[in-house]
Amino acid sequence: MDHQHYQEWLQLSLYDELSDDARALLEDHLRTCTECQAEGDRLRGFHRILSAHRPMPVTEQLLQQARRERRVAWHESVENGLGKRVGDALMGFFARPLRMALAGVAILVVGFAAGWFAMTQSVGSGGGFIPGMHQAGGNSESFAPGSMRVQNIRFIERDANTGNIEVEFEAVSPMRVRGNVNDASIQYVLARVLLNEENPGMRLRAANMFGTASDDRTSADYQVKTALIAAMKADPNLGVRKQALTVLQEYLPDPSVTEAFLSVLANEKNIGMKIAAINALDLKKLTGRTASQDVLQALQKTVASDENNYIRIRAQAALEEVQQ
Amino acid sequence: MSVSTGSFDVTAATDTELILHAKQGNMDAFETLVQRYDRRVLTIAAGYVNSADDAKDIYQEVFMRVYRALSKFEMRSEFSTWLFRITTNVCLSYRMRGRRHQHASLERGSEDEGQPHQGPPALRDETTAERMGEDEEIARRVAESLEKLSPRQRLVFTLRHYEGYKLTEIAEMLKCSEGSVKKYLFEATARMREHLNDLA
Repeated sequence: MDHQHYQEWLQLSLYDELSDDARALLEDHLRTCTECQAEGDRLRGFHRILSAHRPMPVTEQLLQQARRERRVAWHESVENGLGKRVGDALMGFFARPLRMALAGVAILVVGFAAGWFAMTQSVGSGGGFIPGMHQAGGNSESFAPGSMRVQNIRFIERDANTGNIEVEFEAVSPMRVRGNVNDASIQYVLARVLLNEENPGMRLRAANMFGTASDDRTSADYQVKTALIAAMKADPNLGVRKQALTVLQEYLPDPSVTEAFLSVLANEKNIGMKIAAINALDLKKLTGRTASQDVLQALQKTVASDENNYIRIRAQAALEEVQQ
Repeated sequence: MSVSTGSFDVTAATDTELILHAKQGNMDAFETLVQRYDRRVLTIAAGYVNSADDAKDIYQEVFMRVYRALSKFEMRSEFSTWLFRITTNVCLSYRMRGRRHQHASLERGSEDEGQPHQGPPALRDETTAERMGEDEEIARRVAESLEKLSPRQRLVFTLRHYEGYKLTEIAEMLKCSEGSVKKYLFEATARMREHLNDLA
């Protein structure tokens, strides 16, 4: 046996992964081999260095945070699953006659092939796709129907005489895009992540990334702002809503953002969110602009009827500021 | 096998019982089952990516997959084995999705240097401060050397060295032979030693 082999055993012995027989052989060898003795010393030194670095500990707080986000994701999944069950029931209705089922399968195959053809054509010509985006895998030649996922199938029409049915579905194919957060293609993807991704952690990350975009919000894509507003108003995850609100402050005094903050003030259940919204509205950014009637009314309503004393006081201050 | 969900005590139930109830839509059973193992999932993820945000992403992805696939789980293996196999798969594919995660964790690491957890400098003597500074530098270098490993080398190394899983357990998680696991471990060690050569 060569030294290399013994040196591997040395490493295994440090992890207590060596059998008794192998350990006895190794000890015998070490009595006479200075090279392997030295290697053993170096290896133990290496392990001492490693002990300086410990992986990030999982705190109770981190675990609880992850659990909360998981429950939200599951909850959303259950809600989405209801639609799927209804779809399945409809599928069952259509699938009863064998003839029609076979026709459906045939049409699906045709649709699949047509979708593949259309997508390969688009990729090849660069038309109809997001700028800078290409399919994961490098080029259109590597694309195959097998990499495409069919989802949200919808039966549009059936003809009892011929057995023909029309099917609509979404063909999903893996894509990859690289670029700056200010690029239109990246913003396009992030906006969809923010609105459609099941995982709240991913949505939060998308909102965070919008926060790192260029300071020049005037040039920001309309869809970014719209996505952030939708997330702030309706995302089921508080962290995502809060982050969207934080990023949207940069857009003030944009009237649609102001209106969205007023909507949060009127409809949000979480007190922290309402306080953040009222604080944002109170920023100097509103000064010098004529407050719309909607803003005044919303603030007056808050002053008159909000359950939280602090929010009423802050609304009063904001009202006085915008009325100046 | 019929399962009654009425007076079912989730805390005393076995994994198999919890799985059967979870498959019938009992979310309490599913939650209990998941909470028996989810800390370990998060720990594996955190050890692998060395970043709280990325670890949470992996955790979410793992349990979304588990949630979707539980109905198909046929109990041919232990639930934990199946779960950790999913975890390692998600870890490996997560690394493959983009290198941005590495930068994020590294940046965070450097930002954390000199932060309050060390305590006020005036309260520490110079030797201790120096020693802590050295330890931080070594920790940064070790983290950097881990980043340079291939996903499989890194996963095997962190699971064996930091999380303490046996080689046979890692082989089961990765669905490969123990010999392959040893190979990844030896390769990882050799590469890290090379990178940290000046510290030894």
